[in-house]
Amino acid sequence: MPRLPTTKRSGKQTSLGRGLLKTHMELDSRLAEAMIVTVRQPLMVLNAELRVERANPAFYDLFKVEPGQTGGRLIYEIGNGQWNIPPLRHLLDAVLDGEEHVENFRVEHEFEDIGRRIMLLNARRIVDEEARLVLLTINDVTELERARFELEGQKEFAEKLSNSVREAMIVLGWDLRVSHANETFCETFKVRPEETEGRMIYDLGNGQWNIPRLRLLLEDILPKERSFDDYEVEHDFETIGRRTMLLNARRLDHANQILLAIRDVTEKLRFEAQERAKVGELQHRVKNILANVRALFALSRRHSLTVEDFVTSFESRLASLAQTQDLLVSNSSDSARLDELVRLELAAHEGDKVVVQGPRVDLPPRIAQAVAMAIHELVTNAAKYGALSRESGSISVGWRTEQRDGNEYITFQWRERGVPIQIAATKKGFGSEIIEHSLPYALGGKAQLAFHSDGVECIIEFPLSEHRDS
Amino acid sequence: MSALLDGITVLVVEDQFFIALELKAMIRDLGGTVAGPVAHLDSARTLVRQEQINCAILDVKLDGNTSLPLADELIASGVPVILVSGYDSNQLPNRFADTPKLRKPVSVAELTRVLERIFQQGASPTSG
Repeated sequence: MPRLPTTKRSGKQTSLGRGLLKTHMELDSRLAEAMIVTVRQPLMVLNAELRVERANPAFYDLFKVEPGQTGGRLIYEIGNGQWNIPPLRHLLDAVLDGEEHVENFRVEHEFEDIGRRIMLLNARRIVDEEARLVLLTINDVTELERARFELEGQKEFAEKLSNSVREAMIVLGWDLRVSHANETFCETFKVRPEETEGRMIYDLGNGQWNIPRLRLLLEDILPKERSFDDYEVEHDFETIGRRTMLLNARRLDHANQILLAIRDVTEKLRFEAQERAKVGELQHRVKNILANVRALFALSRRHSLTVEDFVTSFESRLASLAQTQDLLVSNSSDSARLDELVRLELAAHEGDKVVVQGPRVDLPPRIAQAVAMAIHELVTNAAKYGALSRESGSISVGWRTEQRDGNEYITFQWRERGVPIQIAATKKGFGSEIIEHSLPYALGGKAQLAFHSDGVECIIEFPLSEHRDS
Repeated sequence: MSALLDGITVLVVEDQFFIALELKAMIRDLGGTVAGPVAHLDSARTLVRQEQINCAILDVKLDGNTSLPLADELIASGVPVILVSGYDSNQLPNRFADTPKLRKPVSVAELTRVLERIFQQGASPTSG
């Protein structure tokens, strides 16, 4: 095997073998010469004074210098002093005086003509009888490092990107082993990153990803389709319970990988279902109100003697319904306060004729509507024939609450005074029917109208709970 | 006007007060007697036991409940039933396919048409 001049030479040579050796040496040096010229790697041979003895074409090419500008010159001076690099000086000094060779010495340097370069330098001392030389080979790794840097940058970018999205993402190899799982994935499915990488997706988190539909998608559909979008998969996870997910996958054929994005739509679907239920409930209520208004219309017409009578009674009942509805809507707890209902119904009859007294009571919607309608009829009657129709009249309105069989009961009293007894008022019409029956009819309790010599009394008792067992 | 429901007692089960009152008034207009109206199944059953019911108008959806079990009982004992289904009614079970139905809001004309089919063609129930 031919040997390079850089190899260490044995100093022990017999005089007998000297001729043969010389032949070998000539061959060696011709071979070395050929190699220097041929190799693609830039190299220089420096003497002990660090003057350039030789440089090869690859060197001239890379550093854009002419042979005439380098030979015999101090390395630090060539090419406008651009090789005057402190780490290089340090390296060369070391190789001349101490270390026999230094390998892969990394030097980053800004060259005048060719810009920033990253080089790995190998320096080797060659000691001859006549001279000490340094062989310096220059491995330009600029492009390689840049490529690696870019690759790492891209990888980092990809990881940061995947970690910043709120969608769970997982990168699989063709063997369906996980090469990366993003933070959202780990958070959502309660796994640690180190538990994911390199493992089969089906083995993740105690086999909880071993989902038949996912197997079908990954093993049957993806090999044919290149991608799939928004496949809904519902699955019971050991750690996080039942989830509905939308799966999106892309084959990354150039990288032999599969990108799987998993959107957990469980909450979204739950929210949408709630919204639908709310809208449905609202729609039901609106239709219910309209059906009631329609019935109220028919009944008011039935019980009216004249058109004016009908218009007045229906209009004021409709207004009462509307204002109770306003009160219910304005209250976020979907209830209406009894004192507010009473004041609203009496709003048209201000003055000191009416005293209202009672603890705060919040009425649920149906009870509120029925109570408001009863109070409305009481007010209407009082304005027509009772306490509100004459100077001497007065009304006291009050209520109390009590517990009965575990239910809260309200006892509401309406008492008019200062009204001479009127036979006309004792004739029970539709208004009285509403007062006595609208609340007890479906919601329980009882109501009673009594005609005293000085005015009407109405007592309504009802439970505060809307649902009665049947 | 001849009284369609002369001598006939109609049970009305409806949990909305005004709607129940209006149904009652309509039946009276047609010459009938009203049992009820009532809002709950238990009071309806009490009426069925106490009175001679010739026909029943049942609102399918009562306050958190359904009147279909009562409909089954009445149909089984030969009492014609009219089901009033709500504005948001779901599909009724198949066994009620031949049971006359009314949709809310119930109009006088519709009610009369259904009652005529029951009571003017003898005791035979109508086929839809």
